Amino acid sequence: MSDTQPGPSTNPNLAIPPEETFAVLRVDPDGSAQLLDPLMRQHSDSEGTAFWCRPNQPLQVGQRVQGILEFHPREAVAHERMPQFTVNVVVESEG
Amino acid sequence: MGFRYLDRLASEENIRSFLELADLAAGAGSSAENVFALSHRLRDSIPMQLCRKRLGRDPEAQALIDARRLCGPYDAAALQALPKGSLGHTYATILGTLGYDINFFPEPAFYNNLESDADYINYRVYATHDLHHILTGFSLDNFGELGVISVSVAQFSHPGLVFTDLMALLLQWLRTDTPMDELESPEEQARTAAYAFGRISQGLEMGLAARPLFPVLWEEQMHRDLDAVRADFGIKPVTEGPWSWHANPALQAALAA
Repeated sequence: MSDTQPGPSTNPNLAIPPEETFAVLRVDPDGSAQLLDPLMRQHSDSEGTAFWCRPNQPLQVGQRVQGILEFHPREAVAHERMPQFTVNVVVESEG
Repeated sequence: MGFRYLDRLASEENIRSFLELADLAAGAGSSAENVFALSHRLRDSIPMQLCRKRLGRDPEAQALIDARRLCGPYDAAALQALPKGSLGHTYATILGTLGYDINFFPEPAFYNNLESDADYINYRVYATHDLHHILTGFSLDNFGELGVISVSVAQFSHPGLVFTDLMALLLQWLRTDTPMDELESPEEQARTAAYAFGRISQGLEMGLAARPLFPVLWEEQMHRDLDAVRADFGIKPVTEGPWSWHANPALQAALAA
């Protein structure tokens, strides 16, 4: 497997640089969204390069979003909740 | 141009698209890049919808698709250091002996950075393709290609591979003018429709009998004995004929060394 996955970070600002752009792959009725890591980093708790989160604003499939502060998924699992994300900018919407 | 029954289907745009796909399929034997491109062009097609639905019925496959889990990169030296007879040792030894790059498959960037489920399916199909050769016994040259891809055709109707099968049958049927048993060399026989039918049938039957291979994390199986892995997944490999790598003396010598 690739060893490019980032390690857990206690500082969410360090986990993902805020200028990186993520694609929204799926959105569930409860508002949780699945985002794809643009750098194809393996996220340990999802065992892949995409991961679920609960963004602080409604998202749509196909959007590209930026300005994400991540509580690392491993930390979220430890607290039995989905990682919370702040999506500051919707860069582009499909259609 | 008018047709009695095909007027709706045979629009100028559809015909051009079909011929472009057929051209890529016809070049499959010349370069794997053609098959990668062919599959990528079918990412939004109706056959890909069928493929996604079939994989989506398997929770393990859907979870893997959702997670966009990557394959490799494989460390050929580390795999070759695994015990003789293991999947990893066999994989690295055979690819090394043939002079093939063990990481010869497109990066996620080729498939739109895996932005759709179809992109990930295409990525994973080709990232695991050479492993499927090892598992099924189908040779890694053109003799075994229709067999190995037909395993995935049977299991989840992958559109790029289905189209390659169909075009191989059609093109080889159009140019076959001699019964296969009257042709002397395996190379000549392999260009007949009868040969294509034979390998496709073998692959389809193997795929239908086996457990789903798409969601298997082969990285976790590399250290295990190849025969045991095959038994666990219900794979009955081909071991004879020019379409099997088992029948290649150079590969057998390398595996025994």
